[in-house]
Amino acid sequence: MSFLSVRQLTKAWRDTRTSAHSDSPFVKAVDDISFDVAEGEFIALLGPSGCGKSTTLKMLAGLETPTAGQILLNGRDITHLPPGKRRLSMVFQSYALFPHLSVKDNILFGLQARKVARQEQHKRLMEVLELVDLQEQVHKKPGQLSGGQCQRVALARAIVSQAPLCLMDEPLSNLDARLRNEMRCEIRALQKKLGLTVIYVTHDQIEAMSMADRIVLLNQGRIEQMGAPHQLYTQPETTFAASFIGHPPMNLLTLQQDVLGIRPEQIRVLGTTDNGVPPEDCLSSADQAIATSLPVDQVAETSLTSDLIQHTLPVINCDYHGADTQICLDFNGQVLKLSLAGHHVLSPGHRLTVGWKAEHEHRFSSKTGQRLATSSVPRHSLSKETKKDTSHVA
Amino acid sequence: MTSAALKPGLFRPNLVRQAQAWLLLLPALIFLLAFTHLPTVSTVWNSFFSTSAGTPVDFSTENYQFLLEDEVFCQVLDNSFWYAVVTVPASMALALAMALWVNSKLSGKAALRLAYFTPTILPMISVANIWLFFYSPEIGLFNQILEWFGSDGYNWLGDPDLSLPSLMVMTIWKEAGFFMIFYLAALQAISPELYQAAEIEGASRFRMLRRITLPLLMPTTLFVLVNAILNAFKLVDHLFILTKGGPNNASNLLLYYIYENAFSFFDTAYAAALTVVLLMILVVLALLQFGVLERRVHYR
Repeated sequence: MSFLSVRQLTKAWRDTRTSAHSDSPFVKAVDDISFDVAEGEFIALLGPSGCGKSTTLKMLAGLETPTAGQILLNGRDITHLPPGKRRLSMVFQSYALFPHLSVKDNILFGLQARKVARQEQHKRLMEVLELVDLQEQVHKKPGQLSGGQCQRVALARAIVSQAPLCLMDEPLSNLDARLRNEMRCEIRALQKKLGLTVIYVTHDQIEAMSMADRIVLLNQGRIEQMGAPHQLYTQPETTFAASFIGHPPMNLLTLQQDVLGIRPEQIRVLGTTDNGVPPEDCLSSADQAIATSLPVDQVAETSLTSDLIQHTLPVINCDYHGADTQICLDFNGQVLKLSLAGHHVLSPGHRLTVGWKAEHEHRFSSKTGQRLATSSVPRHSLSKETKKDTSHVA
Repeated sequence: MTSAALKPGLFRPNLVRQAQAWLLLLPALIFLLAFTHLPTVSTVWNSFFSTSAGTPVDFSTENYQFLLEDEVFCQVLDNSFWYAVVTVPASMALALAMALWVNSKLSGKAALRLAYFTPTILPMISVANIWLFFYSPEIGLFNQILEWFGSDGYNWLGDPDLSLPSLMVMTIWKEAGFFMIFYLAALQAISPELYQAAEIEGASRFRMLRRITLPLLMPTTLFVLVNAILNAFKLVDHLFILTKGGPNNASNLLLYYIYENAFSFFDTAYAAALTVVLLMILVVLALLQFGVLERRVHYR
C-alpha cells in the first residue's frame, strides 16, 4: 500500500466558449491521472503552463473538487474531505501569508485553529524558527520581510503543522535566480531531514531534475512520462518529454520513417572545414583564429571516430551563453543545435563536422511521438544500422 | 518662466522652485481658503456677537451662555447623539453583512448588488418622499401591513417616541448600500489564496472571518466609520420632508436646528455658536478616530 495514491483523477470544466468543432461540451484540465507516492518521496509535477499540474495539486489539497477519480492517503479515501481534514500542508506560489499577522502568528495560525496546547505551540514554533532560520524576524509582519524570508515563513507554516504530506505550488517562482538556487537546496534538505512527502508543482525542469526523486511529466492534462530524473533524461518516452527535459532541448529531426532525437550536449565537433565559403567574405581574421581553435574532440584523433555517426553541416548561427556557445547547424533544412564549451564565433555557412555515438540517438514514431524500441538494441549492431540510415538520408 | 529664472544666482533657483510650487498650489488654496477656512473663521468670529434684527452688534459670550440654558439645544444634542450612535454601527454592520453575502458565490448577485446600491443613487429628498408613503398614518405601507394583522397601526412620524427611530430606520436603509460598495471592493481585494491557506490549516468559517476578513477590512472600516459619522451629522434633508424636527423637537437634529436658527429665526450669531459646537464635536471625533483606531489598522 502506497502512502498517497491518485487514481484516474479527472477534472473537467464546461466549455464556456461554444466551439462548433468540439464534440464534447467539457474541457478536461486533468485527464485520467494515476500515480502512487511512497512515504518520504519528493515528487515533482512538471509541465508547461496549462498542463493541469496546479489543478491536480488543488484537487489533492481539496481546493478543487475532482470530476472523477479517487485520492487515497494512507489507505483512507480523502477525495471529498474538506482541506482542513486531510492532514496535509501547502506552500503557495504567492506564499499566501496573512499580511496583518506577525511571522509568529502566521506560523501558529493553523495550530491555533486546531486548538493545539499553548506550550506545544511554543515548542513547535521555536523548532521551526530554527529550522528556517527566522528567529530574528518573529515579530515582523510579512510586509517587512524580503521575498526569501517570506518564502521561509510559508515553509515554516507548512512544516509546523507536522502534516506528513506537503504540497508546494511553484514556491520558488517569485524569487530571483540566485535565491532560487539557495532555496532549492534548503527545501530539499528540510524534506530529507523531516522525512516529508512532498508533491512539488513546477514548470521549471531544473527544479524538478535537481530536487525530485521522481518526476511526473504532464502535458495537456495527461501524464506524459513518470520516472526518476535521469530516466526522463536518458529515456524520454515521447517527443514531448524529449523536448521538455534538458536545456537546450533535444534536437528532433524528422526523417523519412521516424523522428531522430539527439541531445545537443552529446554532439561532438570533429573538425572544421570552410570549403565553399570565401574566407575573406564571411570569416574575419579574428573569427578564423577562433574557428581554428575550436576544441575538436579528442575522440577525433583516435580510432573510435569510426564509432561515431558523422555529418558535415553548415552553420546557421551562434549564440554565446557564457559557459558555452550554442551553434545551430543546418541539417537538411532542419535545425540541429549543439552546445560547445567556451566562446566561439562562427560565420553562417562555415561547415562543421559533427558526430555522435549511436547509443545517444533516440528514435520516436513520427505519427504518435512515442519512443521506438530500437535504441534498446545493443550498441554495435545499432550504430552500423543507424549510420547507414542517416547517411542515406543525409 | 518668471524673470528670476533668467538671473542665475546662489539662491535664485530655489526661490523659483518655491514660487512654482506655490503657483501650482494656488488654485486649490484659493478655493480652500474662500470656501472652508474663511467661513470657519468668520463663523467663530460671528458667534461672539449678540444679534438684534438679524445683524450682529456687540462682542459678548452670551450666545455660549445661552447654549447651556437652551433646553431645545440639549434635546437636539441628545437626539443627534442617539441618531449617530444607532445609525452608524447599524448601517455599517448591515453593509458588512450584505457585502459578505453579495461577495459569495451566488447566482444573480449582480442584480442583488444593484438592488442594495439603489438607495444610495437616490437623493435623500426622494428617499424621504418614498418613506413618507411608508410612514403615513392612513395610507402608509407599514400601517396597511399592520392592518392585515388586526393592528391599528402607529403614527410613525407624529409620535414623539417613534419619530426619531423612524428616521433612523430610513437612514440605515439609505446608508448601508453605500457603505456596502466600499466593503465589497475591499473584500474583492483580499486574495482568495489567503482563504485557501486558512482552509488547509483547518480554520472554520467563523475563524476566517474573525482572523482574516475583519482585520483586513479595518482600513475600510475606518474610512466608512469616518464617513458614516460625518453623514450622521450632515444629512438633514429628510427632516425637511418628513418631520421638520417635530413633534416638539423629538426628531430635531443639530444641523437642522442650526438651519432653523439661521434662516427661520434669523438668529445668525446663535446659529454660528451652534455651528462652532458642531465643528468641535466633529474635530474631537476625527481626532479620536485617527488617533486611536489608526494604530490598530493594518494598511497593506
